[in-house]
Amino acid sequence: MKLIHTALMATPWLLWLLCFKSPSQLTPVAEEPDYSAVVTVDRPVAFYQFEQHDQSELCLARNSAAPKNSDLDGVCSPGVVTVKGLSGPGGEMARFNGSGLIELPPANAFHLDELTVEFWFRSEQEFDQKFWPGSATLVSKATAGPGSGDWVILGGSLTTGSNEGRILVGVGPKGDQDRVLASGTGLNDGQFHHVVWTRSGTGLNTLYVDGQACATEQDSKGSIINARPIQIGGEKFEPGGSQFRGDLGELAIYPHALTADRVQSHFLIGSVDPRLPPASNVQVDFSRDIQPIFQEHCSRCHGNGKEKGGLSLSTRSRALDGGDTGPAMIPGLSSRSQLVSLVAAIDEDRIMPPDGEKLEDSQIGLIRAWIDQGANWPAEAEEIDPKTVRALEHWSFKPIRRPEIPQTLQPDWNQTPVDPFIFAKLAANDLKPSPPANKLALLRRLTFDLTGLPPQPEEILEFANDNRPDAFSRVVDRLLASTALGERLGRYWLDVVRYADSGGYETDIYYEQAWRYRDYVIRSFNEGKPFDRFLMEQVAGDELWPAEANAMQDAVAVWTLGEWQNALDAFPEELEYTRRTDQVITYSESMLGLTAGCANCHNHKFDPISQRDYFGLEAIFAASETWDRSTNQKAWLKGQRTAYRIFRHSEIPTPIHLLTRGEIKKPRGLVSPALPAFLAGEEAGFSAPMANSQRRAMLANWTVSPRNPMTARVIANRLWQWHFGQAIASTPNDLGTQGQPPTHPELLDWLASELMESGWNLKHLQRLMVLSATYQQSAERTPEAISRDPQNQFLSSFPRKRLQAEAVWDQLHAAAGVLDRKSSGPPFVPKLTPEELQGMYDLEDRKDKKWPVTPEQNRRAIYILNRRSFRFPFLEAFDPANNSTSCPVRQSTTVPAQALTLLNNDKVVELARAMAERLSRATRTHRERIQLAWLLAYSRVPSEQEIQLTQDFLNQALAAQTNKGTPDPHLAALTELCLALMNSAEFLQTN
Amino acid sequence: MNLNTCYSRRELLRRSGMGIGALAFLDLLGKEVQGKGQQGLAQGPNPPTRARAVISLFMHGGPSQVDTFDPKPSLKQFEGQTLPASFGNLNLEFTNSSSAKLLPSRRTFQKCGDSGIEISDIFQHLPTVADELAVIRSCHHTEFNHSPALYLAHSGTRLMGRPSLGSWMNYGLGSESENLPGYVVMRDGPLKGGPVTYGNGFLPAVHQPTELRLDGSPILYLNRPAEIDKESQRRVLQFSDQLNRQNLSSHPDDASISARISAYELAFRMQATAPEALDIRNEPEYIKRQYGLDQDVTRPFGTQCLNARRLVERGVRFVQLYHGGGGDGWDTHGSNDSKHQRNGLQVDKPITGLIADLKARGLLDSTLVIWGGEFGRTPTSEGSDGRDHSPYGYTVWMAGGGMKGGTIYGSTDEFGFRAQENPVQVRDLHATILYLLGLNHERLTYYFQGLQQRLTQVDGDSRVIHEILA
Repeated sequence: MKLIHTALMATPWLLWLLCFKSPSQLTPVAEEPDYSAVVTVDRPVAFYQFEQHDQSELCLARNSAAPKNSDLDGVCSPGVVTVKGLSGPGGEMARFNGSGLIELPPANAFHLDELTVEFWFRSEQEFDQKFWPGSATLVSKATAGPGSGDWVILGGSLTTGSNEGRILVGVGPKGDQDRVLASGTGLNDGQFHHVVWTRSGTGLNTLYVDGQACATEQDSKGSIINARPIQIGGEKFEPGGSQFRGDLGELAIYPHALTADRVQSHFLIGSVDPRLPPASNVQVDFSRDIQPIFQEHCSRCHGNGKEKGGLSLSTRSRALDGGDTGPAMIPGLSSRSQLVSLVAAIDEDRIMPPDGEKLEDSQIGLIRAWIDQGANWPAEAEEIDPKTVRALEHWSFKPIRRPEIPQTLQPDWNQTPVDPFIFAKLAANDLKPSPPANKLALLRRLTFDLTGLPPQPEEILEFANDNRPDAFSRVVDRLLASTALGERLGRYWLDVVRYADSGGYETDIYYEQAWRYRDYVIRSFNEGKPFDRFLMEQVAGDELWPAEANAMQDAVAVWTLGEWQNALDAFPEELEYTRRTDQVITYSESMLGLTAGCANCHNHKFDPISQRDYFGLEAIFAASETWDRSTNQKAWLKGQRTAYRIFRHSEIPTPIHLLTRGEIKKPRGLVSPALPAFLAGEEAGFSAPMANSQRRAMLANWTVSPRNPMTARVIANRLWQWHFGQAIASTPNDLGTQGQPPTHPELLDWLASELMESGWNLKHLQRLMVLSATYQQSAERTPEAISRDPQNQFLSSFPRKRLQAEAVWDQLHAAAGVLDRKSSGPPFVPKLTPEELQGMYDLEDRKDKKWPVTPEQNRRAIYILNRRSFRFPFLEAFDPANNSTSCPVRQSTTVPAQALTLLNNDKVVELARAMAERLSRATRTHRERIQLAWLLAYSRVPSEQEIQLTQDFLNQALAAQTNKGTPDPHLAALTELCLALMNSAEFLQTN
Repeated sequence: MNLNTCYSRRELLRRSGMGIGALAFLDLLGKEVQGKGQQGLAQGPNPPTRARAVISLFMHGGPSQVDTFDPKPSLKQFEGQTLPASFGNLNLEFTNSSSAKLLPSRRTFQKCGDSGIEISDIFQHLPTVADELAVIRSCHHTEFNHSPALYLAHSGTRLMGRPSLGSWMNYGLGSESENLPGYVVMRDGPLKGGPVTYGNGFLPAVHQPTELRLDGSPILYLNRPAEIDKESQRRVLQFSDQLNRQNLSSHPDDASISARISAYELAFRMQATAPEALDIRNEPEYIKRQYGLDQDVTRPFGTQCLNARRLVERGVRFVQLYHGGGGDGWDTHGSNDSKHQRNGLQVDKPITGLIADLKARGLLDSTLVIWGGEFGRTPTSEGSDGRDHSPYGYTVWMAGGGMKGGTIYGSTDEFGFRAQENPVQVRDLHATILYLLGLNHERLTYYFQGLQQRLTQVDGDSRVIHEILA
């Protein structure tokens, strides 16, 4: 089975093979194709190979496309001489010294709206100007003024003054503005480069350098015909037109747009290396001639399941996919196949095999012949490719199918469809469910799970006394309607999208509007927004619902929340690259549950995600940029402390290239926006032309499409984790082949399909989960259960959970009666002692600016200012999320720092005192006091024994405080009690 | 809940709060099962252990190699000239390598000890222990800004938020002390990379560093707040313990309760032992003088160093000291010479005292001492008398713990700009340090974000520098 994208890659080469060779010529080739021939086949209107004048060094520009007709011959000014050209195109080139130029006649033959201009050049001139004046004229047919119907090809830069060494093409159709196409950088490196500009009949312009498209631009289709002559190497009519210094040759002008594969062929044939051993003159049989070579010389590192450098030669598709440095071969073009140049030792630093016998010329010749003949590889000769096999069989890549709900032997245990799935696995593992939890333990558990807050004493007592059969379900409804729900679920989602209020690193720039995203998230969970809509709004809300642009800004801001390595501001290209990488990784981990980030630098070693897939995703994000609205630029300004970051469409989408080893300086071919091929199948490539402002919309639609097997599973898995404390597939950001398999695959698929069918209604799924018998089980474990299932994977009882950091903060404040429920708005900043602030570094040494304490001190912890470059001590002790990247699961550890924080942190002691005051105010007797204390700390009533113990303690404390002469010994004793409760294990737990 | 489905025995022990205990972790190595995608320990053949503790003396800001350990007389010869075009271009933060002028060092260098290692005169005392030092002159990387360079030096990549060397070590070996944390940090001011620089990243919180402060509360929240007196706290702890034990007897299956009880017991013990560990009043006077505690200029860093020795004696495995935090420290963009002299004065005696003291107590063989910063400085000037950052060739030295003292490894070019002979990447240093501790850097891994992560990077070509090991 072939993966679609490799088929797409292979096809053009086969087409070329068929186009180039007439039927009678389909025999093995022993000679390299001739460059002139390949140009001529494409029917240029003129082709100049620049020759030397018979009697002098001067250059002649004869049109070899019509050798007997001199109508289109050019005139070379003195100063233009010829030099020997490339080994490929051979012949000679025109050498320009900065004062000469070549002029072609202003013939009708050159009055073309649809055309191709092609040439080779080499230069070391500074290309550092953005158009005229100053940039070097290569080939131009220019007139004055924008939109005047002309075109130019220049050597220049996009930043005046910076020697970027780009090729710039300017196209100015009549009535339109001038359009620019820019290549990548560094082309003035003294090496030969192939340049092709095509303009189609529909005004689609493409610039190719060295056979690869590097820019496209759609113009208005206006006419670009003018009366001026085509000039080469200089421009004498336009003010500011300047001179070229370098060599240029093999100039061809075609009256139509060459296709991409023709351009590639021209390039490849023009740059054949003569050091390659010739291709053999035989009809090659893969199994007889080639496979033995692979097996003897290559398979130790590239076969038998091995993939050094990411390359496997076990199957044709893997060989075409290639490894970290690109495809191994181009069927039909052995001269440009990497495998051939490696075994022929063209580059002495990269020779294959690296040790052991080198291949002989005859063997290389056979391989060349095999590749030229189309690299035929019969299916029976393919080895098993473990990676492809794994992908085909992997559970999460298969479509979601709603499974049958299992029949179980104890159907009356079931409360919701979740239960039979759980029960079936329990039975299969010789386990039994636990009895239902104690009512109040259940209430505490549920309240924390849905809201992150403890139940209030009134709620506890009400529930305790409510004996109606639907009492629990009423509580569920109440909590699902509470605004605290969004604060609990929202915090989980913020973990997953690496939310923070600042950029980190040395400058730690404050993202002054990041909180709007946080509010958006909380709101969305509270109002029960369908989850598909929630995802779509974040991926492309601005594109899908432009009428609600302002609201959607808050959602798409998620892509601006990554770290800001301001040190990279000196390298804007690299800074943008790190941002895109952050976006692709965050998208893929948070929404698809895939580690696409691994494919940034090489094809994924395990999942069928290629580098091309990764960069296809980057190309989707590359039409947008992170913009700082406060300074109106992207870069950091010296001294800047805050930024108002928005995500918006760029004027010109950044062209994305596949990068060898992910290195920005090693591009190897333009990549179009695309979805991951193995998942999206036929939908993978976006049909062109697609407006740049719709790329993310395509991604959004596909993300939540019923044909996408990942998204619903990912969120169903997370939702389960958020309620049960452990996910069904315990690596929630990785449902790929390296992630943990689900403990209950059918349950997960049932939940995923139920979610989709319910209109992606999270609250509906939450009801199914918390109203289940599974959820309502007691947390007690029997010794048998522990020995049979130590991790409680099968949920024979409800997993006990330690409260997360925010819940500890919230519960302390709630118990003290001082929790400020103000929601939304900018973050608040708790007071910190100089000791607590000691580790905080500020670039300007202005800790007060970095940590500007607010009047509000007692809001929920989700609203605390979250600075990446500072670890807030209280939360730090309780395993907060690491927000450098997506955090799917927090740890839950027990460390002494937690003990010290709860014992000695000033704020905690203050809260203990506040709780003591609350107890004093609200009650009269000791008994009542103790009961209320238990309700606040443990969400239950104390036993008689506990009351007695506490009574003794209080007496003891009271006596000691009185002796000490404390002004209010009663309060002091109560404070000790409250502190003791806060420091007990049960306080931090739900059971 | 920790969601990994298979605990190694160590993890279970740690999770039940006994991790910081007197267990001999070394004999657990090699016996654990490293499941797919699970946390694991160094597994398989492990290097012999030579060091059991590390004291890292981190010179924040980036000390200049040509003014400290890498003398370059050519700088005098070519003073004021720019680098030749053949030198090529180097990216620098504030200056331009093609137009900056060479600035000779004003320091004099002596050949010290039997080995003849050259040390600049900002260090007057260090020459006495020159034969203990293994000086690596060819360290290099490409991060010329503080934060990424700090992250690189500590955690192996320039990215924020990854575990530091101390955390990895703690993960691999745990603490030998029952009452003190395994990874301790002492700073004199904040670092430019923030506390994340020396943090535990994605490793569990039990491997987080504990910052020790030399005034006030030794550990954050170690000291009681003013309104709670000792008896009061004791009552609170006792009652809370009672409640916990009640809880435990009603829920014997709940392992977290025991873990919490242990954590409190440890915290309680730390309240006593940490101040004791940092209480240097009973150290003999001659020791205090040896570390420079009798003089204002050397007292701050000397106190750190003396405490480091005490902590190591008490079983702390990794002590990370910082000199130059806050302020400019070693980051001498201006007044390079006078500030290096100042810094030298502040650290010279304490460091020498530390090494001599460790040696006298027989601890030097088992304690690895590391000196260096996040990068070096340019041999060319910034302004009239400063030096810009230069990561392209800088010096780190190590002593004790299995290092071959009295050696110089690697070299920079004639001007001291680029590492030339035997270049050493940060990951090579890390691999070597882990090796000395008995850890195989390729096998000390932790599963995170789809990879078995390592300090030395999965794609790395890190090597242990055997040439400088004894």
